[in-house]
Amino acid sequence: MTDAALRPAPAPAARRLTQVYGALVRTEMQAASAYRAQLVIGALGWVVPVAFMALWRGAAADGDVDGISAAQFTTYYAVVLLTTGIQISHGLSFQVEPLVHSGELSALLLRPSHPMHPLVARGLATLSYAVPPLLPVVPALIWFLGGTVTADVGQWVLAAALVPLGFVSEVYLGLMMGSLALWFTRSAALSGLLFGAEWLIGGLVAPVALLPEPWSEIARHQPLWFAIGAPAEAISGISELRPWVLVEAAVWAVLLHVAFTRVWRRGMRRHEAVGT
Amino acid sequence: MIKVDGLTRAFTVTDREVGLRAALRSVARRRHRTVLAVEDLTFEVPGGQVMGFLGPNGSGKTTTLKCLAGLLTPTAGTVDVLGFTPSERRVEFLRRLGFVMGQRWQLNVDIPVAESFELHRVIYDLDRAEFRRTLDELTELLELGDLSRQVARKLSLGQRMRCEFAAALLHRPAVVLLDEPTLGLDFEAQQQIRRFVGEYVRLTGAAVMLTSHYLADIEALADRVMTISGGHITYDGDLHHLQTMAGDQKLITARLPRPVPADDVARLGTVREHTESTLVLEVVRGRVGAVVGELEGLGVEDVTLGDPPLEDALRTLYSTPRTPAVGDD
Repeated sequence: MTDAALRPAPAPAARRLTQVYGALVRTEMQAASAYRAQLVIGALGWVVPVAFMALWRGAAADGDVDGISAAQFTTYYAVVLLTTGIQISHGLSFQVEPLVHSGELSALLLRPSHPMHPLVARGLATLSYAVPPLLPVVPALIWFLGGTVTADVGQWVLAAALVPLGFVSEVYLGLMMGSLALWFTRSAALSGLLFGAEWLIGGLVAPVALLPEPWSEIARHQPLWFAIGAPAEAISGISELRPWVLVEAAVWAVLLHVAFTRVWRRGMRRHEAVGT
Repeated sequence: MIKVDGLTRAFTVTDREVGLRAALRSVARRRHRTVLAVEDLTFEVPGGQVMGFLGPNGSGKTTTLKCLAGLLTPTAGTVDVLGFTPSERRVEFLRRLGFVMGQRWQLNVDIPVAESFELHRVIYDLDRAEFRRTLDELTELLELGDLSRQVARKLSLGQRMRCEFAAALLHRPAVVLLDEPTLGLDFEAQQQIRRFVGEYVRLTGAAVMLTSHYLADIEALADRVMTISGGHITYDGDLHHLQTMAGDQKLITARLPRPVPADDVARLGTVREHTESTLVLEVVRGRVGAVVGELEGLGVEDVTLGDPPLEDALRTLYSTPRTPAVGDD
């Protein structure tokens, strides 16, 4: 038997990628199921948005804060609970460093697919356990705590379309931060910057509408806000998104893809394949 | 299949003296120096050949293999594997390469081995029927039995290593790099792996480079041996010739019918072993006839001749920073 006999005609790139991700996510879902405690602990990420919700609802109890009511804060943070819950960038940024320094990256580099695919697939597999519980919780929070939502269907559509674009940008940001491990031994500290940025300009600490100018305006043109705060502001009626925001988010996703590709390529030239 | 010309790989390492003061000083000002892991390596490995690649720890074996696999980009020189430049990591190249690293795992430890194999099928884009056939062959050759149904984490080291071999070779690589494949395995598992590698090469005509600290691996499998020391090739030739490089010595093993005084045998050559029933002498090649004659005079019943162990030849090569390799000008 020749090795050529094993190889069917190559599938188109998009289909191959779908096949590879299908298999990887399936595998990672099985692997994740072995660690039930970890899945439960992962749900602790809910604490942060819920805590900020309580804080801002309290602040707005006696009247609007810069035009934002307690009901809008409720909806805003309920949606942020979902938008932060679907981000996998933190996992990505922190997982690359041990891969590089333990030598496990070498095993992944030997496969004919990008070594970051398994990490992304692991994140997606985790979401398959983490997101379903959130889906009833978010509307329930809004309902029971008296949140208000926009009646503008266009804003709902824009918010829904913005979520995947923001997600993609966050993935590339996480991968880029993780790739710094190819330069720095302790890159996890740098990955912490992504955390901080998400809190401040992503809209976790407060809606960016509350930031002083010009920071508020600047924050509205970067991917962390598209991923976390923007859909929440649109649905809660804090601000109105324009369709142009989708183009901007798509451009960011493409730019970050290109940037990651370059960072990775340069990193590979430096890669010392430590470990055996 | 493998062509290496002038391969050099340098690493930058941080240099720091011992102590807190030196540590604090290094925060502000760090000293680096360049270390050449391998320098100016040139060799070829054709298809169907198993080449044993030997050297002491830190000699550059694994660095060389990593350059061949595309895990490291050479600092200088060219590497051509199957017509590809490995460091470009093209998909078509990776689909024809197999690399088994002693303690580096391809299997996902949290799922049954068969699931990892299936993932491998998808990632390598293998035809389902052919994949099944190859897996059946590998299962038989590696005596996997029902192991593939078990979660990898639960397997013994030997069982897991055999499964790793299957995973690394499911796509029938034309070039196989084996870095300490039998490390930590018991005798039986080592034998199974050796049998398997030999059979795999016979069936597929693959080019194999094998590093191992177990010389039995090399003796059982390698048609050719290359040694490396201090990042330089110190020998490239056949195994038999390497053994003769231990010096112009032969080993004479004699079965003694009765105890022989130590003084009587000491004058014959270097005594390697002397018990009441056995005598092992190392003698200069030209004196073999005379020594055997004298042993017969002592009433020795059974005499066998052999080369000194491979370890002796390797010790000589390892302690010599650079000796002319066979074929070197």
